[in-house]
Amino acid sequence: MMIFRIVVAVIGFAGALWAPWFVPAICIFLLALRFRAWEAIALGVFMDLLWLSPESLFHGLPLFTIGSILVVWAFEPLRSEFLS
Amino acid sequence: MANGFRNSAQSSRAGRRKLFLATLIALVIVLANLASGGMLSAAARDVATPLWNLGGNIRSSVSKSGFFSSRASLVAQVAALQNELQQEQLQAAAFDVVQAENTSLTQLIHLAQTSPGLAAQITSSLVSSPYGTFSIDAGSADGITMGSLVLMQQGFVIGVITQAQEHQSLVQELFAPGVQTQVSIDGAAATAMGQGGEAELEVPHGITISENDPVTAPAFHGRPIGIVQHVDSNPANAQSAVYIALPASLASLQYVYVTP
Repeated sequence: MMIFRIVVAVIGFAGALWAPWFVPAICIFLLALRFRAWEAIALGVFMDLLWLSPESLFHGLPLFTIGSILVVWAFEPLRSEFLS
Repeated sequence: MANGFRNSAQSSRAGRRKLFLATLIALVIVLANLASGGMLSAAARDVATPLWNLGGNIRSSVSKSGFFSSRASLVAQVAALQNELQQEQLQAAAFDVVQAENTSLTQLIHLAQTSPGLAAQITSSLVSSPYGTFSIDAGSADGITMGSLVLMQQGFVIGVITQAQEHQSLVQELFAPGVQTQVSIDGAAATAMGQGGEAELEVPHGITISENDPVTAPAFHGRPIGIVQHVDSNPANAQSAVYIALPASLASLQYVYVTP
């Protein structure tokens, strides 16, 4: 399982650089669904640091950071119930 | 049994603590970036630039080497390949890359003749950004400032510089989702709303607009920002919806022209 987690995280970070934006988004979702994945939050921050501009959607709101934090914590009850 | 539950609960607590810490650090980073005017973003892009360059070089080398050609041609090529030939192919590939760059830059010459500015290479991916942004390899050291216009070879404005570092800058595409631009179309003023790859604007029904009409932006010295791709003049709606796009795909761009 740890290998899966590492592979998905690596795909996510590489995807942040070269792949369409939905690739890291899917990786964040997968990581958050299965693990208490701090790297999902790190990936969200990385996306925003790389690509966010003050002129972007919603006046430069860091959507990936906010989204990753929400997703990671939203799945916490699910993970606690079924995966612990 | 009890130990197992206790261990599981402890590990769960530790995991949650780690996650809470990561959340706090993420928020601190985002706020620090905001407060510092994007200094952390600049550092992140500085780290990413060599990786983007590496990716670009690998992509062009692989495509020029014919690695993905048909099986038969690959077999023939493998049989024929000698060391000397490989060297020649590498040289030829390098020449092709330089020639392609030369062609792109030549197409920018007419822009340089009419408006001051400089050609800059796109260093980042054009498809990765969820916010419709990309990086170029010129910055404040080259005279680029926030608000400088970014043009494609045909003279269309494709974006505006929103962050200028010393040797690289971040470009916000005009057609990125949510970006609004004041435009003029056949004499009528309107606001174009970016939708990612294209923009939509609404004009009163009386105005005659046809496909391929140029759309200009008064705020950008009357330069064109796109052409009319489609007009939806459904009489059931109060206004006609006009969809505008660039005449060429951004994905094919290697160089852009930046003008103050």
